[in-house]
Amino acid sequence: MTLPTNADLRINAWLEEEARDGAPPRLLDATRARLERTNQRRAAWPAWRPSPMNIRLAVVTAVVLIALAGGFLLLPKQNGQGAIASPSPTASSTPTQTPSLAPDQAPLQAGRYAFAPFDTNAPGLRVEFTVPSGWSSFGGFALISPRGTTDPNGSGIGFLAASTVFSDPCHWDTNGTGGNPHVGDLTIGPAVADLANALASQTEYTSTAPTDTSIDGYLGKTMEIQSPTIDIRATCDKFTGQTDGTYWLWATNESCNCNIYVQGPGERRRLWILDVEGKRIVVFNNYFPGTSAADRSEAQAIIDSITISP
Amino acid sequence: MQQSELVQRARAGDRDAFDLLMTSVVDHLYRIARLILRDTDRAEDAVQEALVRCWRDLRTLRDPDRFDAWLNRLLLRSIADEARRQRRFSASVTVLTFDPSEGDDTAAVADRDQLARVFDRLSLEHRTIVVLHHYLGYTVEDAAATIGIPVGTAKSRLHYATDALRAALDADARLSSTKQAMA
Repeated sequence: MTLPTNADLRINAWLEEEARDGAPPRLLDATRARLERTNQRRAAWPAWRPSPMNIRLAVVTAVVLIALAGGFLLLPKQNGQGAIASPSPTASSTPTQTPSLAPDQAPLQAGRYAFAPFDTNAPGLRVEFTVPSGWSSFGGFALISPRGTTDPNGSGIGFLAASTVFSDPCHWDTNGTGGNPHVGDLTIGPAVADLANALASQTEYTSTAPTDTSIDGYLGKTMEIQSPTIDIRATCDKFTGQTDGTYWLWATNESCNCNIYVQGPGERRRLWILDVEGKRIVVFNNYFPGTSAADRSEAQAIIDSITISP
Repeated sequence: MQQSELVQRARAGDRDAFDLLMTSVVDHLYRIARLILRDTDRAEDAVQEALVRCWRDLRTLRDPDRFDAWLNRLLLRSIADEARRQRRFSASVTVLTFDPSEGDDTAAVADRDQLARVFDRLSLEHRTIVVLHHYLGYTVEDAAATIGIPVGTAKSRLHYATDALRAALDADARLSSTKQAMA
C-alpha cells in the first residue's frame, strides 16, 4: 500500500476547496426544460437471435455477392401520398398538416411520420416517410418491419450518420470498454464519396460499387453491403455483459448513439448516402435472403416516400 | 428511496424518478465539470448535456448498480465535447491573463494560486485524470476504464500531471522561503 505524500494531500485539499460550490439552481431548471422535449432511446437493435439457420450457415464459406440492379435502387421518387403535402408549418388539422415525430418505440398505425434523428451532423434535419400498418418505430431514427430486423427474414430502415469506419467490424472495441463504439479506426472525409469509397474498399465484407442516386432530389451514392454469411458473432467484441458479439461497419459521432450493428449472418444492407445541403446522411435498409418479397416491397415503398427538410 | 430503485424507475420512463435522481447527482457532476473545464458556464453546459444524454440513453444501462460509473463516463464525454467547442471559440478570442499571486502574502494563498496556475495549464486529459484520481479517489485502473484509455496511458498522464503539481508546490515553497529570508 502506498501512502499519499504531503504534496498529494495538499493537491487533494486544494481540489476539495476548488470544488466547494454546488450547481446553481438555473442548471436544474434549464435541464428540466430540455428533458421535457427529450424521449428515451435504446442504443442498438436487438442482438442476433439464436437460429438453427446459423449452424447451417456456418458451413458456408463462400460469400455470395448480390448485386442489385441500379434501377431497383433508383425507383423514381413518389410523392403520391394523396393529400399529404410537403412539410410546411401549419396549424391546420387537415391532411396537409406536418407529420408529427414518430414515437420513440411503438407500433405505428399506417400513416405519415417524421424523425429528426441528427443532433451532431445535421441538427434540425427532418425526414418524413409513409409507413404501412405493422411497422414499428425505434429510437427516433429507425423503423422495424412486422417480422423484426434480424435473420432469417427481418428488415428495417434507419436514418444514420457515419463518421468513421471499422476496418475490422468484428473487433471494434479497441479500448476494451465494452461501450458503444464512437470511433472507427479509419478516418474518412466529409463527402458522400469518402464514405462510399471507404466502405467499398473494405475486404472484411463484400459490397457493390457505389453508383449515383438521389432521394427527394438530394444527390448521393447507393450501394449494397453483404456481411459474412457465416456466424462469427462468438469471435466478435461484445458489449459489457453481453453474451453475443456484435459486428459494426461504421461508428457514429451522434451523441444519441443512433447506429445499427449487423443484424445477422448474411445481412444485406442497402445504403443511400446523401448530401443534404452539405450534410452527409445515410438512409439504410437491411434484409436477408429469407425476407419476403412483400416485406421488401413495403420497405422500398417507405424509402420512395421519403422527403427531407434540411 | 434507494438510488438503484430510482434508476430502475427512470429506466422504465418515470420522469419524476429521474428528476429525483438528477437532483441528487447534479452537485457532484457540476463540481467535477467545473474542476476539469475551469469555467462555470461551460461546466453548466457540460452537466446539462450529460444529464440529457443520461435520460435519453438510460435504457442502455444494464446494471443499475453501475449507474454512478456510467454517469461519470457520460459526463466526461460531455466535458470533452464542451472543451472541443471551447477550443474552436478560444481560437478567435484574445486570452487575458493575470497573476493572482501578486499581493498575496500568506503561504496558503500562494500555495493555492500556484496550484491553480499549473492546473489551468495542464491539458484537459491531464486535468481529467487528476480529478478522477485525487478528487474522486479512483484507482488508476478505474480511472483508465472510465476514460476509456489503456492503464499505461492513464499512469503516464497521472505521473506527468502530478509531477507538475508537485513541482509547483516545491517552487512555491522555495519562493516562500526566499520571501521569509528577505523579510
